[in-house]
Amino acid sequence: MPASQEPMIQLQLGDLLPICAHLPTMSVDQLIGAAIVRAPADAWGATS
Amino acid sequence: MGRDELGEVLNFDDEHIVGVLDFLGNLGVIETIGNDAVLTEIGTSVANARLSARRGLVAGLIIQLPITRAIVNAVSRQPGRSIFRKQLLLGLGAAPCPEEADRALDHAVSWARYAGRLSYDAQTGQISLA
Repeated sequence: MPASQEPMIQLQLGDLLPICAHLPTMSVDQLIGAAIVRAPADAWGATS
Repeated sequence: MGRDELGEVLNFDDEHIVGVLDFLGNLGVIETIGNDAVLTEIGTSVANARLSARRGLVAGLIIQLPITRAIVNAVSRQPGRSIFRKQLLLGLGAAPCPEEADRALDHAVSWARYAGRLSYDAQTGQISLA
């Protein structure tokens, strides 16, 4: 493989793929809003 | 609350709730204790913050993600501090799984843009430091 094509950040891709394969296509604001901000009160517990 | 039930309550389907929980866990917004996923302290702050403050909090968490830092560092090493999307995909080692890598890069670049670290010109395919 030519030097110019050597993976720059290959290790991180392995970490990222499992997440991104299942993430819905929506903006960060939409995702945080749906999952956290507008979540029903009993959806998440809270750590102290 | 289990994953299936959580997906139902949050209106994410079975496939998406896996990615959402992983993403939120990587951000440090939630943590898993036994079978339950709970908001962390910062997650509670995010949930309770007004929109502009929330964006700042989430942007700060996104900047800490290894993939965000790696991409921003990769772009910053380029002449002119910009790189073509295709070149970055090659750098990601995209050849074995191009569709997944393409999708992953879209997500990662959108997170970095949200955090104000990168800009993306869809017409030229150029990703630049913001």
